[in-house]
Amino acid sequence: MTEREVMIGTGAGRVLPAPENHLCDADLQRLTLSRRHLMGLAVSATLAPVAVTAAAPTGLPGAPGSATPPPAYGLGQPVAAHPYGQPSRHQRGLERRALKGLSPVPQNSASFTPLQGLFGIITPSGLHYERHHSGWIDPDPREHQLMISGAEPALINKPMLFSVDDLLRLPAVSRMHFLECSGNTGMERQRAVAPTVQYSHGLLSCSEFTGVPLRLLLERCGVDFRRARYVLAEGADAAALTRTIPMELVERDEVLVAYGQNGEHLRPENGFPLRLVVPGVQGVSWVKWLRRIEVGEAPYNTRDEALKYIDLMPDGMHRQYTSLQEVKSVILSPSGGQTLGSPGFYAITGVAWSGRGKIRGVDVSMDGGRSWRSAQLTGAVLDKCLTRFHCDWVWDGNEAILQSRAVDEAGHVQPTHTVLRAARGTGSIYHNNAIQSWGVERSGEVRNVQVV
Amino acid sequence: MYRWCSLATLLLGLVAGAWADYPGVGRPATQAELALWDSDIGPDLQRLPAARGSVLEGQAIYAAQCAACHGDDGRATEIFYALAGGVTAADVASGRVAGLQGAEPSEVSTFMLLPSLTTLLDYTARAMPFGAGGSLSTDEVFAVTAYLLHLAGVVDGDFVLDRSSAELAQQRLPNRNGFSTDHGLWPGAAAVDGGMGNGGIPEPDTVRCMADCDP
Ligand code: HEC
Repeated sequence: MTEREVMIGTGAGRVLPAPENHLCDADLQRLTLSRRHLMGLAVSATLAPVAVTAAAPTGLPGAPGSATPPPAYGLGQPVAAHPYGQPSRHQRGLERRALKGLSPVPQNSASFTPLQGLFGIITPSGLHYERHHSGWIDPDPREHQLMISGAEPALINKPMLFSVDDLLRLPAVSRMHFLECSGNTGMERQRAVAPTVQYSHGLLSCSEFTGVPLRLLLERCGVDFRRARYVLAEGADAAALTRTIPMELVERDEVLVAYGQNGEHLRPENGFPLRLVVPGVQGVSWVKWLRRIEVGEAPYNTRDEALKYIDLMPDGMHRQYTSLQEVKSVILSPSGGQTLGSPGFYAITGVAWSGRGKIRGVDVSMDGGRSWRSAQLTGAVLDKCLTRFHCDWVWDGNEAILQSRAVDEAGHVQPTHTVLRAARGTGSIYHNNAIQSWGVERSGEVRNVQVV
Repeated sequence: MYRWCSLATLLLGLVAGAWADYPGVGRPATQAELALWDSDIGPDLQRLPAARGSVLEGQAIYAAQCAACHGDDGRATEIFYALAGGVTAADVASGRVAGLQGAEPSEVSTFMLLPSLTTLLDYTARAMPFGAGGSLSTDEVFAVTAYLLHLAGVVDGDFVLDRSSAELAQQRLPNRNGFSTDHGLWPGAAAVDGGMGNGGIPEPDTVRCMADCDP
């Protein structure tokens, strides 16, 4: 009997996590060390390690077959043992994981949010995905300043400098929004590639952001809104990354200069002390370590909007300034790499989002898109924010293909790969919002597949 | 009654106006600060800084400060995709790079994409050499850019890049006509209203089929 069989034998309706969701390097090490104690069990370090953690407690009180009640644990840890709290040690494996292969330079790379292990819609700040072009920095907030200037003097009456403290004094707003890299799911543009949802969709996070509407600052500087229709945002990192955003979003009061995220200051990886919040728009425009805003009369054609973040079309043309993140959804459980314990009841759950506004509905298919059922939207349905959905499912033990399809309030329907490719080809690594399929095998194993 | 209302609105407006002034928050930037902070070389070729640099000067700067990561000839290295290569004389003439059709991103060089000279000047000035952005003088940025233009087959070896010659280089960029903003993903005003894009027309326009669907 293999370890995997041991696991599958326990408890109907269990979803076993994907191995890399569950194990950190230390676990793997422990696994190797403890292997010699697992007499008679065929252990494969790559496939079966999950079982080791589960197999260990059989002798403990409270385990199935045990006669003793759950233990009294004795005295616990003192208060403030961790002045800044930490997740349970049993959750250590749930962490950001780096994208290997995007670039050999670790400062110019990305790490993925472990979506498969998150509940609700908020991403814990420490698990927010990362994409840096020249490494993250941690500027001193007493020295950091934000300049607001114009491409030419006539566009702005009074260019100004704001300290972080200045911004903290102004009336603040807090809003919840998703943040997605336009390269999210880019690997899947031609075929199913990523083993788990962390790698296929994990350049996605959602937070409550707190800050000052940019409009307020521009008004204070006397910007000529009639002529200055474009805004350039610049970061203080070594990339000095710049992007153009439209003044319309600023005028609608959607764009914030944020300092807060999920109730605390931004994390350095997310732009401490200041970042731009541009709801519905791809992550690269949410400039981190924000140090300068310039208003201008024309889009800026900067490197990260002329050489990168451009969408290659089948005729060899590139689409430029493709900024919106379109309607999209993904099932987080069951998802790639996980295993269904046995036939029975499962809660299919996932998230949906759209850069065009609120989610109107999500449909779920268990037969690869032939028939669909409306899922239930659980929790808040907010503008340009993740929305959680849920759908009951009784797995009969046969092969199934699980899909979710979101519709937003603009009426846009999330497309299939086939439909999206017919319109845009497979050349662009950006803006892939196609329907994701998870294939469930008779063994209960769930795999990333594509229905084309 | 109407009068009272408007008077009240006016008073409220005045109060709000005074509040919206936020005295003591922020301070005017000085001319020196503006000059120091204004790092971007804007998109307008007519307003380039008054700087100059030759291919030859650029070659020396490139060898000393860029080649370690970008290779002697700007071809792909293990650090980054190719800066030069992949363009033909026909591309230079047409302004559309033929090799882009069906290309994998890792096979695409900077000059196969580059729509505008200012993009390259602006980025090199702020972000290169990697980790030491802003360390080149503006003349050096112009020189190393002239050298890259030469590596890519856009200009001859005796080219000198400055305000007056920039337009010529721009008109020879191999992919200068390879970009379009005719799409629905720009969240600002549409082209018909003086902005960009088609105002968000859905593409593809999918139907929300519920039963007997074509998957
Ligand atoms: C230490 C290694 C290193 C050095 C030295 C270096 N670069 Fe780079 N260069 C990089 C990396 C890494 C990137 C990609 C950065 C990113 O994607 O954000 C890059 C990107 C670029 C790009 C953007 C290309 C594109 O298609 O997006 C240009 C242009 C460039 N470098 C020019 C130069 C020039 C000119 C020099 C010398 C003055 C130089 N580099 C020196 C590592 C280096």
